[in-house]
Amino acid sequence: MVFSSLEFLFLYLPATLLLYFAVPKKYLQWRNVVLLVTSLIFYGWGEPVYVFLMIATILVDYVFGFLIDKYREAQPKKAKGALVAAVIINLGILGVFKYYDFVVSNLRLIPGLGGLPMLNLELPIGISFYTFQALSYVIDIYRRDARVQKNPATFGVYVTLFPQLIAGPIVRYKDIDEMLRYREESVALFASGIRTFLAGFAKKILLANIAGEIWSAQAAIALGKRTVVGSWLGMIFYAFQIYFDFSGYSDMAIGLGKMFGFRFLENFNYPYIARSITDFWRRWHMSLSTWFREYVYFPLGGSRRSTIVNIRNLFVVWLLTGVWHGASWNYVLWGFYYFVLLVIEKQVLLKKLQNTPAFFQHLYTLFFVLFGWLLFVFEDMSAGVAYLGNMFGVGAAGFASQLDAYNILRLLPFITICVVACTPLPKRLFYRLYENHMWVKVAAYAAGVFALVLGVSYLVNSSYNPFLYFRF
Amino acid sequence: MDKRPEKNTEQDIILDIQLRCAKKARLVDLLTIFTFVFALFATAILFIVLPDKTFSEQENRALQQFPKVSYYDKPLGRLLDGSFTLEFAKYYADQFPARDFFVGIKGMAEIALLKQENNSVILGRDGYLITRPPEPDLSTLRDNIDPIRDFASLMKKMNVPVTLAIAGRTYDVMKKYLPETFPKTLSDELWEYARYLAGQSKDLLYINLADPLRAIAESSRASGPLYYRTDHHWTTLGAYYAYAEIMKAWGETPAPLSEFTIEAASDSFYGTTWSKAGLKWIKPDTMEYFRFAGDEDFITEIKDTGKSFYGFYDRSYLDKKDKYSSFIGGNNGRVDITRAGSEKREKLLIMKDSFAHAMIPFFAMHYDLVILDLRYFSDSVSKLVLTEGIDRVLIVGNMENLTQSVIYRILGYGADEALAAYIKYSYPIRDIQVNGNSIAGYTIVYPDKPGYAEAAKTLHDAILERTGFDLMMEASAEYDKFDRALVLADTGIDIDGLIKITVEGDCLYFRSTAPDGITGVVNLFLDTYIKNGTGAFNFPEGYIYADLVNTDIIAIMP
Repeated sequence: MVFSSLEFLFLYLPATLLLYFAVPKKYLQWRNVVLLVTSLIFYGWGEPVYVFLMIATILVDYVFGFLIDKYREAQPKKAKGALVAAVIINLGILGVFKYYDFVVSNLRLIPGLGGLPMLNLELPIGISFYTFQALSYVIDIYRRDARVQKNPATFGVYVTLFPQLIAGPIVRYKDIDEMLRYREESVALFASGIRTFLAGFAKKILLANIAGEIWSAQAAIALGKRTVVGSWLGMIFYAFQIYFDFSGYSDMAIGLGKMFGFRFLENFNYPYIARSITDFWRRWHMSLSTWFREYVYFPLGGSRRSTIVNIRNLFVVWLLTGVWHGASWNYVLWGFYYFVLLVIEKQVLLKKLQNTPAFFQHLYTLFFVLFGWLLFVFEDMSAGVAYLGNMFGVGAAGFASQLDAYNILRLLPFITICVVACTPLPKRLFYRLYENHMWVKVAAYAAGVFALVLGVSYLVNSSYNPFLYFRF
Repeated sequence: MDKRPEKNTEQDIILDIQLRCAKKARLVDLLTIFTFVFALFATAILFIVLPDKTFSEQENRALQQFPKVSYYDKPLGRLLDGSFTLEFAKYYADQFPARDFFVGIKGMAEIALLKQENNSVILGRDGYLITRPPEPDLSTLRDNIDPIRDFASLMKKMNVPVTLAIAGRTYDVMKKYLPETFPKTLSDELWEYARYLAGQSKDLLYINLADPLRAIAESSRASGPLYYRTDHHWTTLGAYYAYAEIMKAWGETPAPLSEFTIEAASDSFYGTTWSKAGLKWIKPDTMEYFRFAGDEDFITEIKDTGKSFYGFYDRSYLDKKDKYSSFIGGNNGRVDITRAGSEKREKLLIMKDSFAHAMIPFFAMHYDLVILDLRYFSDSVSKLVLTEGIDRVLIVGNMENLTQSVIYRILGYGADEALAAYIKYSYPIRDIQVNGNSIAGYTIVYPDKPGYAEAAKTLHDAILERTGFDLMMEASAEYDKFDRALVLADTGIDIDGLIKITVEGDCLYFRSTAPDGITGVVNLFLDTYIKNGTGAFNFPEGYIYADLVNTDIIAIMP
C-alpha cells in the first residue's frame, strides 16, 4: 500500500487510528502490538508473500541483537561474531533479492559463465530501507549506542513501522529507542502531524505526479522528434518530480509518525537551494547520507586520515550509495559521478566557489544535479545518451517547437509554484507569523482542507477513465 | 520524560514553536484533528454503507466490483499473488463516494491554474472541448490503409469501386476554436501520409473530409457548428457536408439542404469529450436530426441483435447519456437499411466507425445500405460483397480511430476465396495445393533433370530477394530424407503451364511439367504471400488455382 492511495487514506488509516487509540495510553506495549500488526498488514497488502521474508529479517535481527548484547561484556569475540553474522545475513538477503540477477547478468558476459542461472525474483518493496534499519539496530547494540530490545513485538515495530517502511526516512535505532519505550501523543503533536502529512500529500499528488506526467510525455517522444527546449523542460520536471515525490513521501511518513507519537528526523532540507554539491548532499535524503556516514564512512576512517584514504572512503561510500538506489550500471555511474564531483569540490573547488556570487553557486549546483538525474533516470544508457544529445541539439528536432511554447506558457503558473515550493520561503514566512497571528493558524487549517480535497480529487481523477470506444 | 532527538533542522525548531504555543493554538489544533479524522471516518463509512454501482454513465464503462478472494481451486490464491489487492484498489477508486464531484474539482483546479486543458482535452474558445491530438502514430495508419488499398485492388477486379473518406477530428476541423497558443499544424504530416498511402493505388478513391469541412467552418457558409462542442463527433450538419463532398467526388448530386426539416432531437447532449474533460460547467450541445419526406419508410435492421425499426433513429438513446447512439442504434457489426416497398436500388456497402452514423440517412436517400463496423464484424467482407451484390464500397473512418487501432486488416480475410469464386466463372481453372509454415529452414530439392536446376535457382533467388532467407538447394531423387523441403517435382498434371503444389507431411511440393511455369507461379506465390519479407505464410487448408497461360491470378479455393 502507498500513502497516496484512496484505500490507505480512507480505510487503512482510520482503522489503524481507531485500533491504536482504543488501547488505553498506559498500555504502550499493546499500542506497539497494534502498530506491529497493522504495519504487517500494510506491507502484506502490497507484498503478500515477502511479508514473511520481512518477518524472518525481524526474527534474525532480534536474535542476533540479543546475542550481541549478551556477549558484549564477557566475550567480545562472540559478540563480534554475532554482529558479523547478522550483517552477512542481512546483506545476503538484500544481495539475493536485489543484486543477484544484476551481478549474474554481467558475469554471463564472461566467456564460459554464460550458463549461470538467473533467479528473476521480484524486488520486495522497501527491502533496501528496512534492511538498513535492521542493520542499524545490531550495529547500535554492538556499539552500545542503544539498549537491546527484549520485546520482539517492540523490535518488530521498529523494523516494520508503516510510516517509514516503504520509502524511509531510514531511522537509526538509537534515534527511536526511547520512543519505543516511552512516547507521548498529544493534541499539538497530532495536529502538527496532520499538517506535515497533508503538506507531503500535496507535494506528492499535486506537484510530483503532475511534474511526472510532463516528464513522461517528454521521455516518450520518439527518437529525433524531441526539441532542445522540450528536453530541458522534461529534465527539469523530472528534477521536480523526484524531489517532490521523495520529500513528499518523507513528509507524509514524518506526519504519520507524529500522529502516533514518533518524531522522525527530517529527510530533506530544501536540497535545490544548495550552493554546492557538497551542500546538496547535506540536504538530500539526509537519513541515507547519515546512515552511510555513521556505518561506513566513519568506520573506514572518514576524512581524518590521509588524503588518499579519504578519497578511497568517499569512493566506497558513493559507490555504495549509487548501488543502493538500484541494481543497474547507471546507478553505479551516478554514484561515481557524485564521487568525482565531491572529490573535486573538496580538494579544489569549494574554496574558490565561495568567492563567486551566490547566483553562480546555485546555478552550478543545479546544473550538475540535473545531469545527475539524467544518469539516474535512464537505466537504458543509450536512451540516456540520446536524451543528453537532444539537450544540446544533437539529434534533436530543432531548438523549440510551437508545442513547447504552448506548454511553457500554460505551465508557467505550475512551474512558479514548483520553484517556490523548492525554497524554504513560504514555510519561513508562515511560521514567523504562525506564533502571533490567529489568522495564519486559520489559514493553515484552510490550506490543509484545501490540500486534502484537491489531492483526493486528483487521486479520484487518476482512476477516472471514460471509455470512449466501446459502443460509441 | 522522553529524551528528545537533537534539534538538527528548522522543522524541529518550528515544531517546538508549535508545541510551545500549543495552548494558544489549541482550538485550531482540535479543529484540524476533528476535520481530518472526520473526513477519514466519514468517507470510510460512506464507502462501506453506500451500495456498489455496476455501471458509470459518465465514463460509459462497467465499474469494478468487490474482487474475488479465492479461485475455486486454490483458496487464498488471489491474496497471495497480489491480484486481490490490485483489484481492490480499482474497486475502491471506482466506488469512491462522490466520484464525479471530485473529478469536477480536479477539472476546475487545472483550468484555474491556467493549464488550458484537463485529461488531454483542451478547453477551446466558446467552450469547445477539443481532444488534444496525440503524437501521430504513422504505423497504425499504414496498417489500416494498406489492407484497404489491397482490398480496393481486389474489388477493382470484381468491378466494384472503393472509396476511402477520412474524417477529421475536432482538432483538424475546428481550428479556429483552439487557444491562440496551441499549434495548428501538428497533424499535417499525418494527413499528408494518409494521402500518400491511399495514393499508392489507382484503384482507391481517397477523400480528405477534414480540409473541406474546415473551409466551410471557417467561412460564413455554415448555418451552425460542424462539430459538437462536448463530443468528438461531427454534428448532423457536419455529416451533411461530408456526405455532399463524397457525392460530388462520385460525380453525383447531393440532396440540397433545403430538402430537410431540422428536428432538435435533444438540447442536453453531453458527449464523450465532456465526460473526459471533467469540466462540468460546460453547457450541453444540441443534437439535430435532418428529417426528409418519407424517411419513416426506411427500415433499419441491426443484424447483430435482430432488432429493427422504421426510420434511422433509435430514440430510446435520447433518454440516456449516450445520445449519439440514437443514430442507427449505435455501433453494431452489421446494419442493413432499405426503403420499404421500393424498387431495387444501387447497393452501397459502408464500412465505418461511429462518425458515419450521422451521415447514414443522407446516403440512404440514394442507395440501399449494408453498414459494417469491422471492430465488431469478423466475416469475410469480400465474400459479402459477392453474396450481397454490392455495387459500391465506401469506407469512412475518423483519423483518431485509424491511428489508434488496426481495424481494417481483416479486409484480407477470405479475399482470395471470394476472388476465386468470382473468377471461377470467367477463367478455366486447374488446381494447386499449398500449405506450410515459415519458409526459413527449408531446402529446395529438385529433380536431377535438365531445366530444373534453373527453376530451382529462380525460386532460390526470388526467396532470397524477397525474404532474405538463403535456402539450401539440392538435386536429388529421394525427397523423403528431407524434413523440411520445397520440392520441385515433375509429377502431377501434364498440361503445359500448369503447376501443382502439394503438402506431404511437413514438405511443400511445387509440381509442374514445365520449368518456366515454376518460375512464374513461384514469383506469384511469393508476391502474394511472402511480401514485406516477413517470411511467414499460413494458408487455410485448401487449394491454389492458377492458370498461368491466361491470367495472372492465384486463388485459394476451399
